[in-house]
Amino acid sequence: MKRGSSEGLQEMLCNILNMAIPMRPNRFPLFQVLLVVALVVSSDFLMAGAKDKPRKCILVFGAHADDVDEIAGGTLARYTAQGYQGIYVCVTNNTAGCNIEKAPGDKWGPKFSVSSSPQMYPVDALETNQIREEECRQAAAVYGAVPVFLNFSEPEILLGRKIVVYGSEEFLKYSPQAKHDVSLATRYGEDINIVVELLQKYQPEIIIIHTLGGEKLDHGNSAYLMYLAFKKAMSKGIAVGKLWMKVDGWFLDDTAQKTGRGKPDVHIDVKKYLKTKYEALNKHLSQNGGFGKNYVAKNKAQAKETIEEFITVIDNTH
Amino acid sequence: MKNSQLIKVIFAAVLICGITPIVNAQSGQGMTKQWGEFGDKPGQLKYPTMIAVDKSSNVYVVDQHNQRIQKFDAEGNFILMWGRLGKGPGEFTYPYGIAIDSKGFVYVADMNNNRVQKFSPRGEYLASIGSYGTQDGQFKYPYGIAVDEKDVLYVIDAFNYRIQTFDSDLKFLAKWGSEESIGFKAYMPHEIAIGRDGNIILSDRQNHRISIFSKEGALVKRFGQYGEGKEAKGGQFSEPHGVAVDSKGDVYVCDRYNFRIQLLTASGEYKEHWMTPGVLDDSKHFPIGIAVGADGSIYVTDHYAHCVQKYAR
Repeated sequence: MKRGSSEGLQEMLCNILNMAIPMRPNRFPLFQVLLVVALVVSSDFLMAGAKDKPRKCILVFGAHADDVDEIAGGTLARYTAQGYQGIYVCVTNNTAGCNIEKAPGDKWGPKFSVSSSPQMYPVDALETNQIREEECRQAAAVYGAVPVFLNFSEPEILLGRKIVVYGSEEFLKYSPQAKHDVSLATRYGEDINIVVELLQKYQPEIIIIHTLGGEKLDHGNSAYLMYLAFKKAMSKGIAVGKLWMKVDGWFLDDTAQKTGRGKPDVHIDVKKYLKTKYEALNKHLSQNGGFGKNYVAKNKAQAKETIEEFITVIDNTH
Repeated sequence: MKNSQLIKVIFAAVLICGITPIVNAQSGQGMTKQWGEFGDKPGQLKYPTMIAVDKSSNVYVVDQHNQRIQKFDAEGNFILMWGRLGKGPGEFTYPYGIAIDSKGFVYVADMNNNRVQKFSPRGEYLASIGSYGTQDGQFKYPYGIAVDEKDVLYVIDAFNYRIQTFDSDLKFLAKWGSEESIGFKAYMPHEIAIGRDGNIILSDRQNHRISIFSKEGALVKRFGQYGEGKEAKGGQFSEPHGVAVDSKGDVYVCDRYNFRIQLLTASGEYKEHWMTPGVLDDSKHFPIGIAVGADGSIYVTDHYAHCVQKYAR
């Protein structure tokens, strides 16, 4: 029968004791056992005290393909430039949100549209998924970060030019390839475990999420998903560092601001990294046509763009 | 009324009620058969994409969301099927294109696995090529595929914006289609066919055009423009998808958001069109794949109606 590790350790300690304290066989068995138990307990305590440190790794947890750049692109660029491993996470499978101009009108092909152009039409779910994942990979490459796709299903998909919402017969029929629904993600342990495994793999020192209870359902759910996973990772002794969240949504309203709850405590100067951030943002051609926030072209940055601010949700480094 | 007369009357009524609504006055083309419905049982389909017909008039359908290939006879009777979701040999993750070579071997663009797989006519796995990437023999989402008379395989490598060619053993031969070489960006073309003259016909979906290339990838001709709805003229397209060539060399095009099939000459002159079911219902119908049988019958897959339609010439 295979022995457990504590049983093996106990046997090893008995052998050491037998060598260190010569005695006649079976003379003081109770004393030996007590001594072994004490040693085992103290060794466990000592091991627990020696907590692993998180790695030099920054993980940004965005709901959709371009959210990483939006919420913390400058910070990700800054830390990766300092030698941190960058992890670029896209939580959903991106089955909506890609529009193309009907009649491109030039030889260079279609222009993606972010406007309310009457010539705009949405792209099907499966293609949107492909387009946006490709853009995601290109954006992650700008930072030298690892792209990770968790493939949670969005609550809406595009069939032809029609939006089909979660729960409808058409939505269930379409069965986009997805592990779970982001709308329900925070309710189930198996969903949370997907993120815990991610934390176990990378053990990041810094994790950045959308605003908890954020401005959009997918954003808020994704943030809460990481919050739950972070706490679970802590309880399992996984080396995770700090959980920061973007200051957005309800944190910007008057009450939150007046009470100080919406006041960020983390301020990252990203002025030198805006070029990288916008280079990555412009990879999301389907969202901004490649002509969105082109800092390089404009060569001017708004004051607030040069500092990215976050609220510390959990600091596990103490 | 005699029984025979009664039968004739009923037969005529069935013809009038059943066939007339799907025959378009503009073309006279009529649907003679339709099979398939949403489901995962043999003969049922989930979001079919491309379709191919072999020399014996067997019909192969990419049953995309069931992650399998189904084989039918020319009348839509189920013969066999293979495949399931996965990454292993004979498994698929959202397959898209299909083609059959001169010996009856079947090639499938296993789109989200970024590879092409080769099968026997009975669906036995034989070989595979591809992984995600930009190198020769790698893909970023292979869409439509076609085989020429010498069994050279042409594969649309959509997000690498190129065509790759392989021999029948799936050995890489060549690539072409870059923006620099053809003069425009073929953004996510969906289907490809071989003309009777050996040229390559590409449905350039997002540009609403059809492009014709030599085997070596030189642009020979490009035609079509955007047009949609009642005012769309012949030769105008709204997201063309499937293309197929008949024995005369004429080209059939699935004109997606015009819910019609257009027939053009090999040089791109409009000849005629007919409507497929589903006009003004763009989330429930979508003619996507098309193939022409040896007898001239035309087979069309309807992506959102989960069926195959057969049209007589």
